[in-house]
Amino acid sequence: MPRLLLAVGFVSAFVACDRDNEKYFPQPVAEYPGVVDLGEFTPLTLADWLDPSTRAEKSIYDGLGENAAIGQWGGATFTFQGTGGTVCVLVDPEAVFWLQSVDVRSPADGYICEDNNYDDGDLDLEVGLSAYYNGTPGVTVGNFEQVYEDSLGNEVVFEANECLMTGQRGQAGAHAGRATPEFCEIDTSLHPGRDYTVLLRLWSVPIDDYVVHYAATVVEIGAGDTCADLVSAVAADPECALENEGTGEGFSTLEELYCAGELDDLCTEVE
Amino acid sequence: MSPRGVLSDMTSATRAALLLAVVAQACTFDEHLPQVDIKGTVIVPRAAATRMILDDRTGVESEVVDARFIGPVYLGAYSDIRYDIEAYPHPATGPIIGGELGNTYPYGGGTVGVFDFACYTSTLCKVVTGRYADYSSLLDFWSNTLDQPVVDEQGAEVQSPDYFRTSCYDLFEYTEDAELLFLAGEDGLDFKENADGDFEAEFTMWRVNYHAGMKVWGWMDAPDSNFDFTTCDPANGQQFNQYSASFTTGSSYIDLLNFPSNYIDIGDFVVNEPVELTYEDADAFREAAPTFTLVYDFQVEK
Repeated sequence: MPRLLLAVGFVSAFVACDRDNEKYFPQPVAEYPGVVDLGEFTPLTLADWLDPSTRAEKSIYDGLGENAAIGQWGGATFTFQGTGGTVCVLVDPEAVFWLQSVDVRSPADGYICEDNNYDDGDLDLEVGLSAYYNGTPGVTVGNFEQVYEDSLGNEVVFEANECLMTGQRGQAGAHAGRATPEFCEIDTSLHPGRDYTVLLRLWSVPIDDYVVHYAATVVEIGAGDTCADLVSAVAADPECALENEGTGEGFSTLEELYCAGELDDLCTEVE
Repeated sequence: MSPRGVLSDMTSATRAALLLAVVAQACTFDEHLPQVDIKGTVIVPRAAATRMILDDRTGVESEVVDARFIGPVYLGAYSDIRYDIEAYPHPATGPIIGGELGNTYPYGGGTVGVFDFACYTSTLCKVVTGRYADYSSLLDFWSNTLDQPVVDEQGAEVQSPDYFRTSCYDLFEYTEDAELLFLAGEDGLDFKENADGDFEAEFTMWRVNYHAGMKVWGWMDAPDSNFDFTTCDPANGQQFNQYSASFTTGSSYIDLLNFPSNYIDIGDFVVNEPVELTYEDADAFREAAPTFTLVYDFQVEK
């Protein structure tokens, strides 16, 4: 009997060794560097935003791969000039449609659909005056932390990221989870004409191709208006404000169905 | 001879004396902490304790001077005080981020009087410690001077100090008045009238990070005509959920010293001439053990 147990354990150990999980560790992709600078961006007007084709045409559609420099943040940066008013900055990483309903506490439509867990990436949004950005665009990703020295020489580290999103419990400085769009209002009234830097911090890349595709934009909005107002003017869901950010097979069809509220139909057909 | 041998050769008295010397030496150890306690006196002008009160029965308005009108008195230590930021003296500020005001980055601070919950929601954010000797003092002032009687959770006027005490003990599960901070006792009242007719109180700013050249400044939050204070956050403080009652007890906003201009309002009294601390470092300050006088003589008008 002990010999039998030993043999079973030996076989089991070999089976375990047969697993190759290397694919779960994203590798750099030559066509999509992990740190990129997209240059200067001209904010969309409200009219641009409301027109679907202009909205897509003037917004950024790109992808980010894993940073080849091990242990360093990846991300994309671009700048825009302060308009003297308020702007909305928005980023929508691929993909996640069905995962939103995989929640046993509040199961929603589409739960019966099987999700592709490997096509989701995540980008975190930070925005501030370019003068305060301490990264080197296109080379290294930084943040908006700076040091203020008062008149007595006392130094205080302060955070100049102005894109402060509110979490579910009301806490400032939150970020949306996996592949969920992030957006915030930036008041440029005190710094018209000054450069602002938008940082799309690479939080995770999809496992299927190691590239997170995304759409991003900056839109002028009226004083007192919010990004939520801007989004609701064109879509019921922030996921649907900037469409076709993913490039995977069937992505656009899936997103179209999701935005039309017809995912159930697809699931039924699959069943 | 080994150390153990030396000790064993000593008499008990010698060993005790040696131990005492070691212990005493420990007591003199100076950590050279960069923080200091700043002490002194604040003076608020008589006007801060004066109100014109209309007597409903006679229709006559009369001037009432009472230290219970004095709101919380805030103190902060800053790198500098400037006269070109607001319409009143204001601490120097750091960079303006977004539309927010610049942070003053204080080195420390303190208060003379803090908000305390006097057991009924009708007193929320209206009661300051060090202003009332006992229950009767509070009830009398609110009923006869403010014409804003304290009412219980059923809306009935609280007239009896004993009922007041019972309500407090029930709510907080206390067993003696000493646990209620808003009851100062006759000897614990902060402000006393001085020879000039102004009101003064002692202060201590605990554990302030010392920087040579820093300036101590502050302001007094004067209550408005409804006896509300701009520096109290009714949503802050201890949360109570008992039966049908659900409320917070109120407390000061957490960033008063960082963003004073968010809270300083018309009628408040601000220190016009801050005290500058010129001692070389914290050790020199501690050795001198100075006390300071801060005068809150600038009334904010706009």
